[in-house]
Amino acid sequence: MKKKLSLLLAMLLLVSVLALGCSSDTGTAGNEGDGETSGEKRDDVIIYVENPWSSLDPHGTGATTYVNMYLTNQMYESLTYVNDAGEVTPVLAKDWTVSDDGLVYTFNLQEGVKFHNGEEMKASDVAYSYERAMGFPELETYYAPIASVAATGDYTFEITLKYAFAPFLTYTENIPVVSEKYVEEGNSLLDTACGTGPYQLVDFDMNTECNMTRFDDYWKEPASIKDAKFKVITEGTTAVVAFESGELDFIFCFNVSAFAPLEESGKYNTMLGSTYHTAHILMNNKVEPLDNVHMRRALAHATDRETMIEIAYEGLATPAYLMANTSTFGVTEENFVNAYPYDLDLAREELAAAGYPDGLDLGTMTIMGGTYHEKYAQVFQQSLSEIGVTIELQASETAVADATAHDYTLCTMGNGFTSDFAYNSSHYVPDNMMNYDNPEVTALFEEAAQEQDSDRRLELYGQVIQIIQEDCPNIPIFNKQIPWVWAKDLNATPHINSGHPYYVYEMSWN
Amino acid sequence: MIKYVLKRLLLLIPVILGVILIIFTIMYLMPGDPGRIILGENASQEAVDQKNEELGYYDPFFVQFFNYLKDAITKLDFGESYRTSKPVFDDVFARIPNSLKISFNGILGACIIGIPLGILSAVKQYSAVDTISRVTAMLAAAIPPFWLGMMLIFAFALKLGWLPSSGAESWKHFILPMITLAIPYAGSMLRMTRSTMLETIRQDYIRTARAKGVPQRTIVFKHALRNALLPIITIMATSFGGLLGGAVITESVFSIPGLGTLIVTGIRQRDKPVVLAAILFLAVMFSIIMLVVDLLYAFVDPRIKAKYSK
Amino acid sequence: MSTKRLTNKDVVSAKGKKKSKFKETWRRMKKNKGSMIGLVILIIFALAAIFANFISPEELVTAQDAKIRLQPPSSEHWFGTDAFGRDVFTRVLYGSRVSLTIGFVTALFSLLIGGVLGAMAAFYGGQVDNVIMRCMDMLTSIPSTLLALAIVAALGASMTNLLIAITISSIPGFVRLIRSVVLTVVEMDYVEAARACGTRDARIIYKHILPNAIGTIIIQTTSSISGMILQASGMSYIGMGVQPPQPEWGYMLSESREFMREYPYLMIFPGICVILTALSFNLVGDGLRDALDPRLKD
Repeated sequence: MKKKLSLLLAMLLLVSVLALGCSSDTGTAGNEGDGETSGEKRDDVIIYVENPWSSLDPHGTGATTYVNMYLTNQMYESLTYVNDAGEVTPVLAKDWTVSDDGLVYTFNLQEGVKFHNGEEMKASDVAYSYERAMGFPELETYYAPIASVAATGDYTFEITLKYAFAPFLTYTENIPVVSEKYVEEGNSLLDTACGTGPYQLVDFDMNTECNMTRFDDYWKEPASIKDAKFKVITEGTTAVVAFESGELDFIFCFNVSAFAPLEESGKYNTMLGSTYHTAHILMNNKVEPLDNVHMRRALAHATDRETMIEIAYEGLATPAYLMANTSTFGVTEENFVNAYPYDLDLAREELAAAGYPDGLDLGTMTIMGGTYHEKYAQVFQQSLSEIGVTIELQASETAVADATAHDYTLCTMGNGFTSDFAYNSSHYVPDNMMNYDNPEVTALFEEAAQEQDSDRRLELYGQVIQIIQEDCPNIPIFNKQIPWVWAKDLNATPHINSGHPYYVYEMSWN
Repeated sequence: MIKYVLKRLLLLIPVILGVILIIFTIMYLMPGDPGRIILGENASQEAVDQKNEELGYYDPFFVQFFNYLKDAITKLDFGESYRTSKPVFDDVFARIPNSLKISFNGILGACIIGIPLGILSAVKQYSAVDTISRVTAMLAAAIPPFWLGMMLIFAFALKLGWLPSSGAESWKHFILPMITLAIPYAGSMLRMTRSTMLETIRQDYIRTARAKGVPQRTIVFKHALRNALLPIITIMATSFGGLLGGAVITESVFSIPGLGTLIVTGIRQRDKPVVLAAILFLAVMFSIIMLVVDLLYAFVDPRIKAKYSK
Repeated sequence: MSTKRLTNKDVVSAKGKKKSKFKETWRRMKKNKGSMIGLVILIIFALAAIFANFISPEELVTAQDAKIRLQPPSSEHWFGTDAFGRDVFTRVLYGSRVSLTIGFVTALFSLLIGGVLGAMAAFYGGQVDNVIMRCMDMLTSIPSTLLALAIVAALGASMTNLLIAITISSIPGFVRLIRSVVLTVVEMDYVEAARACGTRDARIIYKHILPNAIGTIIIQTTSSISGMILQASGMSYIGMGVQPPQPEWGYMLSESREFMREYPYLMIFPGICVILTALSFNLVGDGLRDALDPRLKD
């Protein structure tokens, strides 16, 4: 009998030893913001990431996923960079020329740029990177206009387009340059990295954190911050708590409501960063009764943007009327207007014109779960109920895939855009999420993209926008702003571009 | 005995095949085509269709199922994650340590709180101690874990600043999740201990022992507790098996990268191969744990032992 | 003639017996203060759910008003208002409907399905038993929360699918329980006697087995309801359950967690309701156990 008891006790002991043994590998934790109190200058920074990463590949798997780009942006560089004013600025390309027909782009590259493996960057690496990228459908939007690429010298690189495409230069920021030798040696870019950026990879755990350290052979001034840690916290509320208790140095408020108290406390640096992003309601333009423009206008008139912004984004977003904002080339104060102001009487009129004077049941509205989409969808539902239109909300984690496949009736969506309306054409030319197809719009977009004269382009975009406003293919709600918060003694500059929101290179401690 | 173990192991095979069929069916019914999920919204429809073709997405259900089984059995190939394009078990194995840690800790905490209180309330049945601990146990079992987790973060991480709020780096990070998991389980542990103790206390042999004048302490610890241990171990083992993947909500509140969050993210992103592999792994683990418990029973209980020793 | 009279007598005496058994149970339960408190809380919640319309109009569940959002409790809004300016009291009130429905419906269906399967397994034994129990082994080896989540993901998040998912994931427990209860009864002499007399199976189950197993079944069902309500609220919390704007307590908690610090009342009222409901089901289940289980009788 005693034997059995002791056996059980031994098991219990084993269990507890295992449990403690497992949890005693302490790691490099416990940075509780000691820099502030001791007066010693810190040289590391801990940055919040809202979701686990999927890979480090700057071209392939998850290359366009924001959280992955937070990392690749620090380690890789592209030929160019689009700054906050929307101008294309040189990075790895020193300068460039465009042929008169707008088909051939010739780049002169920076000399003496080193990859993290010590190799010098040559035009062949750039050509290799473009060819590699063109094998991944993830980046298709950006390489679609490219016919061929070639290294024409050690430091000259040439891209030939299939058709003239005026804003093509802005796309070159999205194809990072990787080391040909490194990849050809058989290294996987999924969980290792070798770029020309100011930081090189130390370790990467897809689910929890990523550590980087300063690259000492960086071709520009070396960075001020030595070590950068990126930490995944999947619960927004927890992230704010972690920030306040000093576990993080740089965050954005995943839950916007956390921003005001942090800002009012005066203990931190805060900034509302505008974005190239529109939250909007998709209406499937080919599904009855939404194929009727009056039906779509009725819904647009029943959209109370002011309340939506107040409730869903704590008043910190700006109303949107297009898949763009006025910082986008082609969009001006004159045509960025509310064509369908919130007016339930007008909504009822349009509803009657569509043949449903007493309202109807529009079925299910797919909502992207868990964030502000869920909130403005409820405001929308409430307004619709007042004009007799009923909808049922259903959260779907695959809303993006469903919308791309046109497998929905109504759907909330958030889409990024760029500083040029030509990119935003992807929201309006065929194969868009709205299932919208107006040949006139398509033709005008095509003409504008190939037009080299910017005044004429502006004029063409003016015409396009007018048609889009009349057709009312979707209901843009707001352009969100990112509520950034970071430690008082940290210098940081968040950027407007959602994919490249910050660079550790630009950060430093006071 | 060995024959019995072998028989039980063989019986696991149909159960595991059944689990694969169940999960595979659920995954099959899940909407979302893999090509689009893998390639993202920027890819053209042709590229997506081609990817789907490659993955056999257009094949009929049974063809897909048998291909999956064939690859799994012959090549131990459970597919690649849609999200990371790496073999699924890379991700599953990376998460196991964290899940083991919080499950062990949770059960441990539950035992530390639950068993002594259970014994106490059984021995002093109907006393004030009994009533209070029983009501507390029931209250504990009634608290939603996410609510408790948020409250603990609020109190200990934010207000008091004693403990970190999230992550899985050091032992400190495991304290709050441990409490969150332990409290509800401590409730059931307490009730279980109490009721089995009461049951054994009422047995004739205990009555005899009492009548013989054996001291109370000896009765409780030597006779009653020993007999109550088996059900307690069972509940420990089942809870542990369940917790390995079932601590989803606690894991997500504390941002702990465990198997539960892996599966939930997998379900959300329709990363079917990962979900399938992870649930399969958990099911096998659970079955093995239950097998071990059964064997332990056979080992400890002479009646069962006699049955199989032939 | 004589047989008829006999049956009548039988019925009368059976009724009398039942009544007295019920009375006896009730008498014992009344002595258990905890279960009485639980019962009172449950009755209050049930009444609130049934008569919600008379307490606060149904429109207020979804009526938004951005002007009065996030207001603390006041005489006008007893539990304050949420981020949409909706009246939290009304939402919590109507939330009791949702939660109680989830609890009762899932318990009922898993009891029915689990009961039939468990009784079949025990009664017929052999291959039937084997097949049913191996299927249950498969279901139990998948953690129930994850199974329920996967089912909801496959069918789409909605109240009905949530009910289906929770029911499926709790069936194995019921099958096991009812199988074991029925097994003990089946082995009793009088059942074997009835079988030997050639009484139909259904009649044996209905007449002999059910009345003897009912106590344990009631206890188990009552106690499992709280688990089901908690599971449903947990699933709504991670967005895979009841869809907005339906006032489910778990979903309300999920919505309010981001306001936890500035507006804690948003987390407190729905939280207390979940805890109280789950607690009272546990208390009542416990009281029933003490009252019905003859072994625990003093």
